[in-house]
Amino acid sequence: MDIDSGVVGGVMVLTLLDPRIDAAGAVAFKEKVRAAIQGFGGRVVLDMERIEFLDSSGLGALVGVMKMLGGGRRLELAACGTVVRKVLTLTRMDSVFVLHATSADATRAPEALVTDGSGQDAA
Amino acid sequence: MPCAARTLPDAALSARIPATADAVRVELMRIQETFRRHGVPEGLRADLAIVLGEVLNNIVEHAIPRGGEKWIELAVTCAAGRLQVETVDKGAPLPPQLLGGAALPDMGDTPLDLPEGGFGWFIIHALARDMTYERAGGRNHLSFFLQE
Repeated sequence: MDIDSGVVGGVMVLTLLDPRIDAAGAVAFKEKVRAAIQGFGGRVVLDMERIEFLDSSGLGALVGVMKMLGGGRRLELAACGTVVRKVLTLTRMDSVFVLHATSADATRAPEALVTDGSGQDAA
Repeated sequence: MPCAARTLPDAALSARIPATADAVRVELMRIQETFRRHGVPEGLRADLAIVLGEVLNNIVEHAIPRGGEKWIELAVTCAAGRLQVETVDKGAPLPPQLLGGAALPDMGDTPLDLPEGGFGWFIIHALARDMTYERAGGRNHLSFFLQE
């Protein structure tokens, strides 16, 4: 998984450049993200716009990434497509991650959205 | 009707692939592309990729390492508005309790307790219909269908 990273307004946005987070790549994906967020204490958003496929191993990797944030921050996902949304909804993990329509929405969203514990995006 | 526009022919696809996560990925992409060209609606194609991915990766991760030959056969038939899916492998038998249904894993009390696995069979049962399993001649034979 190739990843572009940038910090916008104090929010780290990781743009995932490959189309799949699946069993074949979940471990490598997690390690790439771990390296990218190491030492960063702010909000982390994954831009999922290019992700066409997520399986249960990929979902587990996303949970693993959220745990890297230490329990005080939720992982935020932007621009989830058809398959990603379906997997998140079926497993009810859509209430665990903070979802945004786009990464631009995510960086504009107030900090309160990720600390109220509801996991729901107001948008 | 789902599956394909009425003017398009029914489609069938079969393959024998190595039982590896990489081969599963390649096959899922090939199937997606084939059924996209045949006009199968996006929602049904998404369900197919999700369920078949779980089924095939379960075989790779659980059935094959416990013995058997390292291949999987699969067939997907698109007819009468549904996608019929069959898989055959010579790995270890499927534990029978997985066939009846599966619960979501325990979500724990805090984000640090969240499960990182155990979602697969729940996802399969949420989308697949009429699942049947047979063990005969040292082979696992699983079949089900998907419908919008």
